[in-house]
Amino acid sequence: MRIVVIGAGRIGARVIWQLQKNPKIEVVTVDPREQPYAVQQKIITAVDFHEALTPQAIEYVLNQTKPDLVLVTTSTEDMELGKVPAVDILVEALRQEIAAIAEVPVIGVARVQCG
Amino acid sequence: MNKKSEPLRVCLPCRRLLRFFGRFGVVLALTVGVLVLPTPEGLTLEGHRAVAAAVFTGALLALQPVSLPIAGLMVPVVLIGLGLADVTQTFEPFSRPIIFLVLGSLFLAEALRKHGLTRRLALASIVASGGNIKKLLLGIMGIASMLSMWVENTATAAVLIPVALTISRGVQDVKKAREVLTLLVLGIAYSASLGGMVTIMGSASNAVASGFLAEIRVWSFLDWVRYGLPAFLLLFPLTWWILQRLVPVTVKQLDSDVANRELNKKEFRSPFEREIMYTMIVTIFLWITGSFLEPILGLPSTLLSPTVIAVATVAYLSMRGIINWEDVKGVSWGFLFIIGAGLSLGETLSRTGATEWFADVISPLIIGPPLILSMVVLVFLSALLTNVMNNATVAAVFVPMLISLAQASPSFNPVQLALPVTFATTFGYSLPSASGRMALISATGIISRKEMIRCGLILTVISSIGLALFFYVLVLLKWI
Repeated sequence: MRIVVIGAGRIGARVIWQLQKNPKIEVVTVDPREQPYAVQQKIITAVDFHEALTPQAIEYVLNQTKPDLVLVTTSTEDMELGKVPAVDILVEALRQEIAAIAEVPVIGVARVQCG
Repeated sequence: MNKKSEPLRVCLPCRRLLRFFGRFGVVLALTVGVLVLPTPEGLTLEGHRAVAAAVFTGALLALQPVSLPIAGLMVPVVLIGLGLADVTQTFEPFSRPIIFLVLGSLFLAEALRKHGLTRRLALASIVASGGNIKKLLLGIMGIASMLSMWVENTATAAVLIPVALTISRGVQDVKKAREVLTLLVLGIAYSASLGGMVTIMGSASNAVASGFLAEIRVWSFLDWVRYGLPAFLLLFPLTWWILQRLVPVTVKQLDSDVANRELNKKEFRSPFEREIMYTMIVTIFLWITGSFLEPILGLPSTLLSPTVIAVATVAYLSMRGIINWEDVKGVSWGFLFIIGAGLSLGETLSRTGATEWFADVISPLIIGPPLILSMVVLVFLSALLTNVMNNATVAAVFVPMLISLAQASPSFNPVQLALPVTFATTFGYSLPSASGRMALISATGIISRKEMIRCGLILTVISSIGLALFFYVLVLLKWI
């Protein structure tokens, strides 16, 4: 089973760490940063795709990887968009767009949901 | 212990402190600078301190050493600290009906967003355009402005920008897709700002200006719309037309199937869509007609005032389970503090005589030259200032001053000066600091700073002239 994890920040790192417990799961990571938290914590050696959370970029990743499931773990802070007004609405709307274009299940992972 | 990390841990808080005091230091230096200057002739000592408070507020909201809402809360503290008002006087404007009207519109925006109605309306307009880029731009700008008239415009833009991203992915060529995206995103930002011009709750500056106008004359929701709507109807098509010249796109036809597929997906369709739409229509109808219906129906005074209608609508949506407390907890409450701070500052300026002094200083510029020239200068000044200052502060400083000037001069009336200046605060197009919409676009990196400034300044100049001419014609026709 191939799972794309979008965002390798603090939430993404926890998700990847949990998924790595099952060797049958192939984890593909997407994050625009060179050294996101999951890399800093050595949970993964590197990010597979350095792409921003835009429908265009994610469509490219999905076409390349053909995953079974997509987990969006990107928080507003991970997007590094600063503290501009309504940025949380923008990030959620972006998540919704990605969910709309993907042919596979896309599930958002909120901070409170991951262990 | 890693020796390399030790100095970092010591230095990081210091750097943060320096960074904080760097910007806050400038705010303080400017304020103290004004305070130590000799009091100008004609200005009272209190008025002098009020001018310093205005400088503090302007600098604080422009440089933002703290987030905007906190900056808004610091204004009353400074007003009290400078001996300009007591705690009741400074905090009273924070609980005016206009604040609750804006709050109601924030909650309505949340209902639209939560149930995906904003997005679906945009998709429907794209489908209706048949993919023609001109019509598509018109449609998405129309939705952005229509919604921004009634609900918070930055929230509307935040939902529509990702829709533009989705639509532009239909263009295969990266360069051409970027052109389309730039056009659409700027269109969304500009039209969301323009839509806010139409109603009292459309922007913080409208709320502040309306608060001051209501103190000197009967000033209803409809009075604002009477001027805001025609100004919008003039500027909206102008902006749409100019934008196409500023951002030429190679692609003339887009594949609207992407939008059509999205529109027909059942998973994003909320069962409450129609109900929210009907509720919005009834709310808008009552906002506009409430003041007429009240005496006809023999209802208690202010029962159908815009604020009560907004609050009642939110209560209804909540009772129907369309929104709940968890949803509305997340809205941008801080916006209200900025309006409150603007009202509080403006009142202090008026009470201490600072606005009269300002009015005396600028009166030769306004009364001397021909009216059209004065209007162009005022509108353009307001539009430029709103790029670096919060628009509520621009309104808080300018509107009481212009009201005071108009009251002293029989050839003017307060509305003909206050409204164009307030409307011009809509033209915050040129910098990320100009408005929440431009800050969002800048944060996404879709448009370069250079491109934003170029398009913004050209549009600001043309729109300012258009707005000034519009009000000049109204004055000539004696409609204002």
